[in-house]
Amino acid sequence: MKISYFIPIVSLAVLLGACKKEDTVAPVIDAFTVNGQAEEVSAQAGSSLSFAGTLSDNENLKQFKIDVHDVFDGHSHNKVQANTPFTLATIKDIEGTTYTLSEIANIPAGAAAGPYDILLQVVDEVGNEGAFKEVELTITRLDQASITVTSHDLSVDNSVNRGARLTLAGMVMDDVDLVEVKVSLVESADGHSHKTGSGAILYSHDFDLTGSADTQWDLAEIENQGFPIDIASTAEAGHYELTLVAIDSDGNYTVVVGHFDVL
Amino acid sequence: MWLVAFGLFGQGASAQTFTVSGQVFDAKTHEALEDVTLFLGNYPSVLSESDGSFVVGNVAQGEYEIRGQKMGYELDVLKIVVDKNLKKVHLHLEPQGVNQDTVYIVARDFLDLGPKESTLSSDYVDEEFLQKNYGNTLAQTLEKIPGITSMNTGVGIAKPVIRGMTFNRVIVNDQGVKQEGQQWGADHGLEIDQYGVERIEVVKGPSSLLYGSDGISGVINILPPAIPKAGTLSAEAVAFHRTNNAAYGGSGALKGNFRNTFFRLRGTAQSFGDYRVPADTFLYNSYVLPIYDRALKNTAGSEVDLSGALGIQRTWGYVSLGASNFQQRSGLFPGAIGIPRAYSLLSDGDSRNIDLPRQEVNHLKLLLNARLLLNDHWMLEVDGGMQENSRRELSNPHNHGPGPRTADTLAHGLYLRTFSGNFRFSQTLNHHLRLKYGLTAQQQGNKREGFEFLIPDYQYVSGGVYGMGEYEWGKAMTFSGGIRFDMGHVEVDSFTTPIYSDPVTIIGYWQRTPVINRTFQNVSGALGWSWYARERWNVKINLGRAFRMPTPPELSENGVHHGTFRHEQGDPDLDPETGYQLDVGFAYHAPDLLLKATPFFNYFDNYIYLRPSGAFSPLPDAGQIYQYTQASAVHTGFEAFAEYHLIEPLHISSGAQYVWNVNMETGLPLPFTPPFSVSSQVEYSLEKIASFLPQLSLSVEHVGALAQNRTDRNEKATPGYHLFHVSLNATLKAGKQELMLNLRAQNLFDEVYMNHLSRYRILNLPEQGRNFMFTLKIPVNILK
Repeated sequence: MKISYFIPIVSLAVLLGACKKEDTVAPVIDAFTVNGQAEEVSAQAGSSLSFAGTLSDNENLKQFKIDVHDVFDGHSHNKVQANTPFTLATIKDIEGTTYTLSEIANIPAGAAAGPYDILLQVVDEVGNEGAFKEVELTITRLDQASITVTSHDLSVDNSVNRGARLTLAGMVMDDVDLVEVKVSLVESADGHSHKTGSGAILYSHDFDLTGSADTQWDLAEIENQGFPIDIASTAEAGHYELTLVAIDSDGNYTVVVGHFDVL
Repeated sequence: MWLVAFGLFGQGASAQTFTVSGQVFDAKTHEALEDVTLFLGNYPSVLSESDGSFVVGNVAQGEYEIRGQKMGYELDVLKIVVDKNLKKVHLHLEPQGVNQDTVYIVARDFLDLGPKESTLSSDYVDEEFLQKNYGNTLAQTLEKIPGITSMNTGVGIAKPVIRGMTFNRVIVNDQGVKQEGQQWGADHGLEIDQYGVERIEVVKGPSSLLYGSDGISGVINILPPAIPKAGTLSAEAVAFHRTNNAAYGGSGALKGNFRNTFFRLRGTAQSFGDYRVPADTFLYNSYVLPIYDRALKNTAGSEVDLSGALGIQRTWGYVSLGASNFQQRSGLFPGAIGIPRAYSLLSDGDSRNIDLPRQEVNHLKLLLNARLLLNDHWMLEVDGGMQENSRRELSNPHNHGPGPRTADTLAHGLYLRTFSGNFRFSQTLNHHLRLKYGLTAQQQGNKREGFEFLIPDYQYVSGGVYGMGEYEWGKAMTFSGGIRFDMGHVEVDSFTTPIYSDPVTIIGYWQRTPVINRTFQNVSGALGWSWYARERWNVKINLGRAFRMPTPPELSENGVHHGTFRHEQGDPDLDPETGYQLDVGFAYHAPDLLLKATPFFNYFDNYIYLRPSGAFSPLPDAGQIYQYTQASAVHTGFEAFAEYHLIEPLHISSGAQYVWNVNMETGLPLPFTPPFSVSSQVEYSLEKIASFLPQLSLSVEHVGALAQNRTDRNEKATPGYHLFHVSLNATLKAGKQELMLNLRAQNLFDEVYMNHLSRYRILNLPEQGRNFMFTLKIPVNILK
C-alpha cells in the first residue's frame, strides 16, 4: 500500500527537480564601511556620511537598503526639541552579480547628537535575503553636553576591587538645561564591542534632572544623592564597562564609556 | 458494537405502563458497568448503578430502541417490545480500542447513534491522557498525538499545528464553537485553559464538509465535559509546579447536578518566570549574543482563567449556558523584537517581571449548547457563542522615521468580536442510516489601535449549509458522503498613515490598505468509506474538496510583523484556497497489538502563502516585503502508530509523523514544515499494588526528530535532535480519598535543540532545557 502511494510523490519530486533548479543562494555583503570605518564611526551633525561596500550574488542582485536610526533607548519625549533624531531609509535598485556600493548621505545640521545604528541589507532578484551588516554611528554636536571625568582616567583600562567603592569625579556641562544623567556599570566579555558580553549589571541608576534648570551636574552628585557605585564583594570578577549618558533639553545624547576590571 | 441479549425475565407492570429494567455489562470482562447512560425512546435517560442495573419506569406499551452509552465503549442498541411479556434487558458494551488503557480512548458525542463507524479517522484523548501529559500549554500537551506539533513563542504561547499546517488552516472548536482569536499570527497562542478540558477529539484530514472554511488540515474539537451525575456534588483541586521556569499554579473546580439541573465552575491561575535554556550564548547574524544566567530575559508570564456553566437535562435532551474568560500576560524575549542587541539582552535582575515587550491577551466567551431530541428519529444540536478577543502587544516605540515619537507603548491593539451559531439536525432513519443537515453562521468585527499598523478594522460575515449521510452496509462497511455550500462577505476599512518630514510636518499620506469588499462562495463535498476487511483489519478512504476563504489579514495586511522583520503585505484580490484531499487509514486491532497508518495526499490549486518580493519595505528598519500570493501546492505525508502489550503491565508504543510538501510555483517546500519525527514510549503500569496505592506507572519516552533541511526561501534548516522524558504517575488512596500524583522530567538530558516551528527559531535560540513538572490532583466527592 505504501509503495503505490509513494510512487506519485517520488515521480512528482523528480519531475519538479528536473524542470526547475531554484536559486536559494543568499546575496552577500562582502564589505561595508562608513567613512572608512567598519565597526564604529563618529560624525558631526551637518557633515556627510559616505557609505562604501561590495555586494555579490550568484545570480542577480535586486536591492539594497541603508537604514540609519537612533538607539536612544526609547526614552523619547513627545515634544518638539531643537535637535531631532536623524533617520535615513535609502533603498536602491541594483543588478548584476557584483555591485560596488558608493553612497553619500548628509547628516542635517539639526540632527540630535547621540548613538545611532547604520544597517545595510541586501536582497537578490528572487527574494533571497543575505546577512545584514551594522556599523555604529555617533553623531556629535558642538552644543551637546560635555562629560569631563577627572577621576578615573577613562582613556585607559582601570581596575576596582570587589567590595570597594568606585568614586567618580568630574562634571557634566551644557549650554542648555540637562534632562537626565544615566550611570551604569555592566559586564562585557571582550571589553570593547557592544555586540558581545554576558551582561551582569553591577550598577545602574538614572538621575532625573527635569524640573530644575541646571546646565551643569557634578559627578559627586552620584554619591551625594545616595547612589554610590559600590562593587559588591560577591560580584563576579571580570571586565566591565562604565557608561555615562547625559541628555539635554535639545534632545542630544552624550555618551562616555570607560573600562574597568573588577578584581 | 456487538450486542448480546441474555436470559430474559418477565417483568409485567400495570395494565397501561410497564417498568423496563435490566443490567449493563462489559462485553469483554463481563463485569457490571456503572454510569452507562441509557436512552429508551424519548423517555428520560437514566444511568446504571454500580451493579450495572437500571430501571425506566412508566413506559407505554410499544416497540422501542434502547441504547447504552459510556465513554470508552462502543454504543449498544437493542430493539425491545415493551408489553407484559417483557423480560429483563441486558446490554453488553464493547470496550473501544485494544484496551481501555490505550491513550486513544473514544469518547462518542453525547447522543450519538446510528452507524457506529466513522469513515474519517480521528484520535480521542481523555482526561487521563491529559493529566499524564500536561505540558506548558494545551497545544504542547497535544503534541504527543502523531501528526500534531505546536508552533511556540517561548513556553507560554503556543498554537496547534496539524500535519504542518496552522494559522487559519486548523480549527479549534471549543464545545462546538470555533475559537476566534487572531489565529493568523505566529506568536498568537491558543487562548484556552488546558485544565478545564476533559476530552478532545482530533480530526486530521478533509474536514471542510462539517466544519466549513478553514480547518483544511484538521480540527481540534474540545468536547463538552460530561454532565455530572444527578444527585452528586464534587470538587477537584489541582496544583502544579514546573522547575525550569519556576512556574506554579493551580486549578479548582466544583460541579454538581441536582434534579437534573447541573453546573460547573472552574478557576485556574498560574505564574511563571523566565525560562531556562541549556546555553550561555546564541548566534545571530554572526554576532554572538549573551543569554545571561541561561535564562531568556523577560519570558515570564501569568494566566488567570475562569469558567462556569449552568444547564438542565430533561427527557428531551439538555441545554447548557456557559461563560469563560482567559487572561494571559506574557513577556517576549527582547531580542525577538527588532534586531537583537547585547544591550537589550542585559539581565533585568528579575526573573519574574513581565516587562516590555509583552502581550496582554483576554478572551471572553459565552456559550450556549443544546441537544434536543425532537422525536425518535430527529435530534437538533445547537451551539452558539459570543467571543471577545482582546490582544494588546506592547513594546517601546523604536525607529519611527522622522515622525513624532509616541510615549505610548501599545504597538498593536486588536479587538475581535465574533458571534457564531451552528445548528445541526441529525436524522436517524434506522441504525444503518443517519443523515445530518447543518447550518453555520458567523459574524466578526475587528477593531485596531496602536502606534504600529498591521491589519485594519473589518467586518466579516460567513455562513454555510450542508447535508451528509452515513450508511452502514452490512456489518463491515460504512459509507459517508455529503455536500456543502458556503458564502462569506468581508468589508475591510481603508487605513492611511501620515508621512512626516520632521516630527511635526506632514508632507503626505500613505494608504496602507484600501477599502476592500469581497464576497466568496464555494461548493465542497466529501466521500468516505470504512471497511472491516477482517474483524481486526480496517481500511478507511476519504476524498474531499477543501476550501478556505482568504482571511482579512491575507487580504489587507500591510506592515511589519513584530520581530519577523518582514513587511507583510496582503492582496485584496486573493481567491479562496481550494484543493482536493485524499486521506487513507489502515488499522489492525488485536488484543495485544494496535497498528495504525494514515497516509494523506492533498493538492491545492491556489494555496495562499507569503512570497518574498525582492523589494525592501520603505518603513524604517524593516526588511523585505513579503506578499500574500497563491500557487498550486502538494502536501502529503503520513502518521503511523503502533502499540504493543507484551505482558499486561507493559505498554510499548511508537508514533511517527512525516510531512512533505512543495510549492509548485517556486519548487520549494512550504514554510514551517515539521521534521520527520518518531515518538516512542515504554510504560510499566501496575494496578492495585496496595490499598493505599491503587495505581502506579512509570514511563520513559524518546522523541527523535530528523533535521529539517527542506525549507522555504530564507527559512533556516533545523538540525535533528533526541529528547528523553520520564514520568511517574501514581494514584494514592487514604480511606476513600484518592489523590493523583504526576511527576514528569521533560528533556531529561538538557539537550540543546531548536524547534523548527518556534517563533524564536530565527534567532537560533535553543528550546527550553530540563524541566521537572509536578502535578497533584485531588478529587473530592461532596455528595454522592
